[in-house]
Amino acid sequence: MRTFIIKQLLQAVGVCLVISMISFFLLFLNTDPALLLLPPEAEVQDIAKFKKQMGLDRPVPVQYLDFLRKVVLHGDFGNSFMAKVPAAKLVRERLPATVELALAALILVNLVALPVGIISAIRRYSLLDNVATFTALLGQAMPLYWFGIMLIIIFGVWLRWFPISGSDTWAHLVLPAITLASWILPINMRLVRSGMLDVLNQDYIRTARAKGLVERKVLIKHAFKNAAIPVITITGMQLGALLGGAVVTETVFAWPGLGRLAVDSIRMGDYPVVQAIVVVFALFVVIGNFAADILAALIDPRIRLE
Amino acid sequence: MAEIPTSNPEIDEAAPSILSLVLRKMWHLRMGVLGALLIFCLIFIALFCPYVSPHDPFKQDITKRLWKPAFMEGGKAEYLLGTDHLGRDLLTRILYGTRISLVVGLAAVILMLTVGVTLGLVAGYFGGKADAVISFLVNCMMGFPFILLAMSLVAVLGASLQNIIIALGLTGWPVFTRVTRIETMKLRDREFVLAAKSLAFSTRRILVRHILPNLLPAILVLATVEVARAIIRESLLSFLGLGIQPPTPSWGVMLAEGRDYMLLQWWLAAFPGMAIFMSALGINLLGDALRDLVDPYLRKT
Amino acid sequence: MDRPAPESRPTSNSISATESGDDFLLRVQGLKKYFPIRKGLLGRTVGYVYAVDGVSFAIRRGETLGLVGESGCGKSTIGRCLLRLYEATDGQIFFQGMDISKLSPGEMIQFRTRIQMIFQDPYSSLNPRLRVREIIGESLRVHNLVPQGDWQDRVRELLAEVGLQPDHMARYPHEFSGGQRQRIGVARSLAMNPDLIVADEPVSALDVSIQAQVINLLDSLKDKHGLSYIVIAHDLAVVEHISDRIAVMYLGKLVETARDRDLYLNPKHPYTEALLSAVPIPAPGGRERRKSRKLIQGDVASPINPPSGCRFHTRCLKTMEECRRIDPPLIEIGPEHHVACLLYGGGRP
Repeated sequence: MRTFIIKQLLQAVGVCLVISMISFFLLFLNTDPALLLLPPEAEVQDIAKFKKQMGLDRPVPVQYLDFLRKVVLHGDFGNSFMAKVPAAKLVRERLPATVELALAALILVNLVALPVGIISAIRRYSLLDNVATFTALLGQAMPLYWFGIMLIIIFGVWLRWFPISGSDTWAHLVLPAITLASWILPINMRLVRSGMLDVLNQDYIRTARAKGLVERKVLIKHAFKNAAIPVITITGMQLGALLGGAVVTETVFAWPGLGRLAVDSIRMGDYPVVQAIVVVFALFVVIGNFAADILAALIDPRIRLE
Repeated sequence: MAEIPTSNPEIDEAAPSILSLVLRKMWHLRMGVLGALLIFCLIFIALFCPYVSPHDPFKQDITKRLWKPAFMEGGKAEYLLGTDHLGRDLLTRILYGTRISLVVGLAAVILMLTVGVTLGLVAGYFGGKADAVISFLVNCMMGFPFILLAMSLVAVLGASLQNIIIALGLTGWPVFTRVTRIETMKLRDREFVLAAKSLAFSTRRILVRHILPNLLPAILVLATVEVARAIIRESLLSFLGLGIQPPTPSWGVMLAEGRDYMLLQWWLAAFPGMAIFMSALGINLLGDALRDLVDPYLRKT
Repeated sequence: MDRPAPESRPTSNSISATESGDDFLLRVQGLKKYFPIRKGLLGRTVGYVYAVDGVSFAIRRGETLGLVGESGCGKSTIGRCLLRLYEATDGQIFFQGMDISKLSPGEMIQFRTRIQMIFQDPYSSLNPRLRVREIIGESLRVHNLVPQGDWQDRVRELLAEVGLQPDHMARYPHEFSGGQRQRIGVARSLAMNPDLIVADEPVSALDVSIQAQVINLLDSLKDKHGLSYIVIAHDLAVVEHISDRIAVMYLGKLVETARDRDLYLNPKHPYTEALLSAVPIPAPGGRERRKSRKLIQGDVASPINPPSGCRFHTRCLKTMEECRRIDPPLIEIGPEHHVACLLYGGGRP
């Protein structure tokens, strides 16, 4: 088990490094960073002097190591091009909003996916199961932003039940949370269902059922009891999709979180902020996957031997 | 001298033919048929939209802007779904949008296939260090939200049709590698591969003639679903402003434009989104049906 | 990690009648194949599976050798080493006088045309995506064994030879039964016109009624094409009809080799006797002879941690005290009859 954990840890660190490398080198892909920072009228000598000053004339790998050092030791991503404040500060300011949104969405998803998934597994091919499967099918084809816009139109404009942008009250959270939840719901439902099927198909339960010993209620209780760890595992795996969905949702609802910051920064070419966000996202995803893998291996020893 | 014994048809039992299996399955797969129908419409529209559309998708007429769809009161019959903020017919633009979606979807998936399957074959067949490196790469990319990567790529490379295809293709290949790798690893120890080796066939021949054809069912199913995802992603990028640029009629662009008017002219956002939804749904239905078809075939052989 | 070499007596470990390699189509000497067992973070090797642990034998042209043993004794591994599908850990294999581990790529292809294999599982030994004519004919085309354009005729010939209908060559493997698929496999090997065919459990996956058909097919092809065979099986009854000589294996080593008749009428090694006791044998003269059922005691031993001394001693009914300490070498006790058992000598003087 220990070797498994170490292996996963090493992999996690490796992934973070690679992602940081990619986001760093993106900067150099198309433009000379100096040109981005200086006003357009700068003379050639000024540019050269500036580069020397900022250390931009050093070989790229050296610059990368410097970048890495600053990030790991100080959390310093440099200053935002647009806002003239440290990029890390911007990220820190916007992070809570995204976390809030993500948590709300997760709660919603689990509220629905857990019961539906479990009962679908217990009563396979029942009406509920078929409806759920059908909904999942629809959900996977549904563009997230369209769903969000439709919700805005229907519930925000026509019915006027909820506000449609901004983030002042908890009411503002409802529509965005539902939207983001819908992004993850189909897959979560399926995962819970198949996870439950695995549990239910364990031999001792099958024998007990064959003997008619196990009542529905007992079965459901057993399923729920065993649901805790799989839920965490599934959530960990879905973290990437969750963050991706957050980017879109925040844009649609003008939610002041990291996702919207990401889109704006990328559009404006504000690379320090982009790098910071990419690294933060990567950290979340990597930690989430790592936790999910460890937990999954705890439950199913076969995974460790893979 | 004993005579050469021939096989006795009564004793030897032959397996049922593929055709009968296919027919039986199709009977149950009404959904798949529906999906195929939707896709057929899609392709038809994409090919023949100039002849089927009532108007020119690019013609602007400010005097006709923001008209209601024909089925609402105040709408005109000649503009079935209304007009957008520049006076262009919405229906026509939606129809033309099929071209963009299909082209981008197919091209991106072809790129993903080429990169992904090749890497998967190498990782699965040769194992060892190549496998370790490729698997690590795949793990890196799979967990990460594609949006950031794709957006950044497009921002850096510039937003053109070509670059979107490249961005989508370069962010979507890991799925193919993962599947190809697993299937290749299952196949490389099968006896017919060993037989091919013992017949002194080159590695290239073994990979291309023996392993690859047996991967096709799984890859095909995956490719179908990935086309749908590529279409959704393209419209997402366009919606965020990092994809197709106006005035080209991409559904994502139309959604973005419609968003500004969603308070009053809700149809500008609703119908393009509906188009995306139906297309993706159709492709997914077909993909599911394909998977059902392919599975028993795989298990039988 | 080397196992200590078995105690050897002057009469050598091999069963070749003479040491001249030229008389023999195939000569195997001291063949060993160990599979490493890896565990841990860095894939450290923590042990080995001693699949084949020092096997020597030889075959003359036109001879059929039956290689028999229970599952896991290493017989299939030997087959694959002979075709260089596995690389031997130690030992040498001489095919037509050449050391096959030292072949150049060009010689390798030559080698591969001369020794072929028939595989065990009819359901995975044929590529399900290729038509039968491609399965059989691919080697003809790739290696230019027949003039361009004639290959389909050759495929038809081959199909007829193995007892299948030539018009079926456009069909796919799944349209054939298990026995028919094995025949296709035979045709595939024949296409290369080999000198030696290694049949790795060719009938184990078939119904008993079909087994005889396939074995008879192999037999009838032998004279026609001047083939030599190594037939690998776990059932003595299968090889009995077709073999000139039989070699019995246990846990990676040969325990007895003899001519077909000698083995049946005069088995020496306790393991051979046990194997025979499970098989009803029609003896020459038409009387069926069944030995009294001799049971083997104890559990199946593992090739990862083989018993000390004679490997069979843990299950042998006739085991003696020294069997635990000394690993008996293969000793000649009669014309072309060798046994590795302390009952017949081989212990330290």
